[in-house]
Amino acid sequence: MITNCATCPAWAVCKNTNHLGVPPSKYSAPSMVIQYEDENESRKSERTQVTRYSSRSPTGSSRMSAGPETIGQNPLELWQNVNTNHVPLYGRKANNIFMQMQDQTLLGSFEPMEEEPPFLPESGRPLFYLSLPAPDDLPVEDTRRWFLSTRMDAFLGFQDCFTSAYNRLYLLSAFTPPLRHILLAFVKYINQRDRLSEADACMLHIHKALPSLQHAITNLNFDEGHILCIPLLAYLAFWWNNEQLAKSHLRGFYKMLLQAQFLQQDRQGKIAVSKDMPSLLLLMWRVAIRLDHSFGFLRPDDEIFPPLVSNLDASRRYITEFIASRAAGWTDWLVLVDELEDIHSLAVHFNRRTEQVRRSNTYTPVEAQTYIEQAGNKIIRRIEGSKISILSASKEYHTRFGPYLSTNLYVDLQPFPTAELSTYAASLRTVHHRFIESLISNRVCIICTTVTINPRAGPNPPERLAAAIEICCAFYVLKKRMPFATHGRGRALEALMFAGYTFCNANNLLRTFPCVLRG
Amino acid sequence: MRIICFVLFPVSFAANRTAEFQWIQNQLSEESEVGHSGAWRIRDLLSICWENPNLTPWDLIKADII
Repeated sequence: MITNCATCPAWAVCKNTNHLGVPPSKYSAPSMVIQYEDENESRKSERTQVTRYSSRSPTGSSRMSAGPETIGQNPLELWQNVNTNHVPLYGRKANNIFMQMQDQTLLGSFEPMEEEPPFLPESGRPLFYLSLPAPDDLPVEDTRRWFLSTRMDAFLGFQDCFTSAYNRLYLLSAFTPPLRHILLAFVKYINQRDRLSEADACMLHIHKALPSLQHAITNLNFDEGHILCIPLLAYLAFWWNNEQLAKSHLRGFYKMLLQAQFLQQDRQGKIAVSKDMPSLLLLMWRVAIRLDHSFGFLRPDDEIFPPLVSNLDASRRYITEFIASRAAGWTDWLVLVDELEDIHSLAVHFNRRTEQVRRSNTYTPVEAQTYIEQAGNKIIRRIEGSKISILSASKEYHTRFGPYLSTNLYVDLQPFPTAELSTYAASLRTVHHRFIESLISNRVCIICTTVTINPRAGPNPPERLAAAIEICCAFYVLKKRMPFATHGRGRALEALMFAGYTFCNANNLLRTFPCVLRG
Repeated sequence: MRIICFVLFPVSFAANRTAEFQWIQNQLSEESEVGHSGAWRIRDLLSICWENPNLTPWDLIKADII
């Protein structure tokens, strides 16, 4: 079993239901369904209040589901007992069971990880070991919090670049109990060892979070903390094999961002982030886009979000703000990844639009094909521009940091069946594997666009063939450098599929050419 | 006409593409052996595309053929 399936866009395609899923618990699995629409929505929108960093107590606590009165032998805490100065309130350690328990290793904790030093921000203060108040009546578990920063980044596929962002997410949750609950549920789920041992607590946290979250959404009185809960719920639903629910949360997330005017939609339906969108929301917006693209794996019709307008300045803003100092060299690459995702969205919506145009009675088949080719060529030019940017950024990275990249693998070119493949492989000698992955995504976009223009297998047009050959070389180099992928290989598999589609039965062209010439 | 096509479109070109196609199928087999069960589905999908070049992978997925 591959441990990194959860980050793989091909995870749903693999249909490996034994991996992840709903952990068995004595509590029933929460439905996680949230109603994002209301029949009186239009009326209520007139009195919409969207606040940021609201520190007041949430309304609607009476609608909270009835949880247990005690958790084991632990007394309950109330959200109202917020101790903002972190002053110990429990008296002396000798007669306080909680202070004594802090010296004990929690059941199910991950021993090797505990030896790592806590996260130290610039102030030198270990934020993750500060005792923020419990979300309401559940105990605080300090020793698990740092998972949020250390594991979440890897889980969401940003490869150890945004640890501080999840740290801030955690601190923000001090003002939004539902977010605390969702974060704690998330943390208990993503660690494989805790997934079973902490399943009950995970379920309870979700049970606790959902009613107040629903209340805030129903009354259109949500803040940034509430909005941030939604992509996390979407991921949980996705890993619980409930794809429809995950999509529902993504739609809800999108609507909430529109409602809060952090997203703007133009008359053509394209959406762009506003300049006022907080950095943390920007990051989670990109996280949500990645999940949306997972739904579109081999199924472009299944993607939820409308076409995206690229805003590289916004991407650079949140990346610069959150990126760890040791990873600062990856800033340009991360911006390019965001751009690639936007291009992917463009290619997907081009595919959908093309189907509509071909079915439309407004155009003759020849006219429709002409329009499709014109639009497709524009997209191809943009994708080629993106490829140049990737190669340029790769060159700059190599010049600045000079990473060690194994070159032995280029000696053995035997695996390549043709000379074309061998020629391309040499060009990847000095390209870091992260840029190679980006190149693969870029080449997939080219093939997708050409297949949309000309929905037929084979090496026509030439751009498609070149892209397919580059994918093969990139995949080979990637596989040699990283035999055991640190994250899911779904995108690489998808790329191989499109490359294979390009090489499909070229003999058919011999049969079809006379027909084309006759036509 | 067929002769003209052979001139424009050498047989070696088709042979190369066939070899590359087989290379990709082998890569997908290797990937499935190390645990990516989805690689088998993609491999099967490509086999169908080989026989049905008028269909796109999306058509096959949408029609639940794979």
